[in-house]
Amino acid sequence: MKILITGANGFLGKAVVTALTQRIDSSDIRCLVRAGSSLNGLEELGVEIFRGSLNSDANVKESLKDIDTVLHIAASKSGSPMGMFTETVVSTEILFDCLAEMNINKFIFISSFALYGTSLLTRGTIVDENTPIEPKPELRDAYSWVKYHQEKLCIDRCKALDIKLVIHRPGVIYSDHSDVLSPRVGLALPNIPFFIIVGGKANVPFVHVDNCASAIALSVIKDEANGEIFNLVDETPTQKELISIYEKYHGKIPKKITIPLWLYLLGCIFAEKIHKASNGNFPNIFSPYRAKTMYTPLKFSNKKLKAKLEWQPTVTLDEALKK
Amino acid sequence: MKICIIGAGQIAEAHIEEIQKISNCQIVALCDLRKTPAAALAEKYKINSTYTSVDEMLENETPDVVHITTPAGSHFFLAEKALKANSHVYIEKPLTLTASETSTLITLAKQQNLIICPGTQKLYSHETIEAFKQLNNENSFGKMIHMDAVFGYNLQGPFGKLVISNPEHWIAKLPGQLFQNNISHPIAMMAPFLSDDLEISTHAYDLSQNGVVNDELRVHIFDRENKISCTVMFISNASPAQFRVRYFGEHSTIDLNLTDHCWQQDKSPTFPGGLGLSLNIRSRAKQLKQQYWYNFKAFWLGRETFFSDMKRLFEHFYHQINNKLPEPVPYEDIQRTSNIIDKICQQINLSEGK
Repeated sequence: MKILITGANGFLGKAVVTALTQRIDSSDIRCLVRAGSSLNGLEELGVEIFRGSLNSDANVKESLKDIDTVLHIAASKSGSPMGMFTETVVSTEILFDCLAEMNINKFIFISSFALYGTSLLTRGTIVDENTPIEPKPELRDAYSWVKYHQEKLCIDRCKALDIKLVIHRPGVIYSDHSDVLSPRVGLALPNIPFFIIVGGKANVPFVHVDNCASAIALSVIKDEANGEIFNLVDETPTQKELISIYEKYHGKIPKKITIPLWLYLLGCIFAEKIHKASNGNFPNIFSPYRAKTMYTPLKFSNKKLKAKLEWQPTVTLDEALKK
Repeated sequence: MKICIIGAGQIAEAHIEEIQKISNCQIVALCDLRKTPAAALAEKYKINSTYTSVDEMLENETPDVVHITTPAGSHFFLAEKALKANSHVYIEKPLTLTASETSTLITLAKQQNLIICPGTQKLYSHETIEAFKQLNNENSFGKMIHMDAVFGYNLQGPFGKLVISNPEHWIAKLPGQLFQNNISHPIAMMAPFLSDDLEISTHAYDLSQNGVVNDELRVHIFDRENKISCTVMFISNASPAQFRVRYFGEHSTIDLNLTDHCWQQDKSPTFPGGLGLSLNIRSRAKQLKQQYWYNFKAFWLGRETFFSDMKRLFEHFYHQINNKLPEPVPYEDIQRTSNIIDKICQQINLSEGK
């Protein structure tokens, strides 16, 4: 096996490359890294570094020489919707246009939990790989819209090219060094001195970056993964459970308040009306649609990942927060 | 009016949203070299057709107007195609890469009895329209003495970061790199007041030491015919990024702030000493108060949005087409803007020994 990894120098990419070097020979790993960007320590892992851009046909073709497996992690997470689209979906289109001329056997794609249509689910529903995807991703946020089109493209093109596809949909990825207090847990808004917890009972689909990386590495080497979609979550504490673990090691979060979900939704409905009345001048960051996707108490399953790939998380939330 | 858009990137989405707010206009097709962006935008904005071939789109759709929103290197080639296919053309800034390309397009448009319009929409912001009324008022402003334009750019924004980290980026390959993609805006704000007898000197440097593009530009322009001096500053290492143009006249100074969407006119004190000075501050505060309330209402009621200037330019462009009236941005100003940019790019490249 000779594998090409895109987005290898990113937060998840670096962890995946590290996990893969423990399972296959480093010389069989080629990382496509944009010219001028940091290698983020990849050079110490003994892997091949190929400098080039995913937006360049020539670079991509050259990087695919002698490759039989592609692990596609690269995606843009900021900027305007079409800026993100160009950096994420168009580059994936270029990748597939180049793949068509090569002998690629397997394609592993890192999608997102943001694709699930969780706003339509009722309290307590289990979100697994059979949960329908978001019908209107553009209403949720630009990232969901972009990932929706990227995943659709991967499915269509792998089918057309007869390439074995593996899709991973990770939840909220965190590390020992990153802040776990994401908006799903609570809102720290600029110039507002409170940490606002909405509802407090919603489970947060966390996955530690090393656990996430080991699952992806297993799917690279195991044939059982071919043709499958996997939810990548390890622990799913409620917002309040997470805050309680966090406070155990980092001290009390000052000025935290909990507001009921129904009240927050009411505020979101009002904010959305202002957004429409101002013709978009007031940003649509408080949409009820997005609020439901984030704060409806749901359960998240990783049974398929454990059963098919015999994956076991090695890092716990408690250990990570302790560090 | 049937409209087609070539290029389904970042600015194309703004074009679609603004065109869809204008009555009697329909975007009939989108075209991009790649299938996915055109298809995704068409699905999002309910546009019937998408193409990967410009020729095919022009032949099938016979558009009245073509908007070109591709990277700058392809503007000339695409605009020429659209004009030859008998469509009026709106071209995102910079219009072309060279002054001779601009000249060729203007000649072709005149021959075909069509209109071309550059995407220098800041000329149509509400504050520019109001400020320009005063600039043309002989009594309150008088003769133009000096113009001073500052264009701020956020090098650390998502797009700026991409440019400075990638020597292969299309911006890095333009003759005037980052400047060429942006300085049409400040220069277009000065071009209407200048002649073509200009002396230009330029300094460009890489202050952030990104190693890919120069990020600071200082330009001095002297209009020999009208005896007007100008400075153009492109600043990308200072915060906040601001776009301001100051016009110094015989009787007053007009400070046009295109970032905060307001403008001010400073006049000589009418009373002597401290009294005059304090009354001048009062007059400024009064002007700002009026504009604050105008902008406040415009914001909350959605009368002015981020791309309202673009929409106003589109509306004027379409109006001129429908009524067979002259181009919305005079061709002599468009050509002058291109000539100035050409000269700046030449001087940057000469100083670097290219």
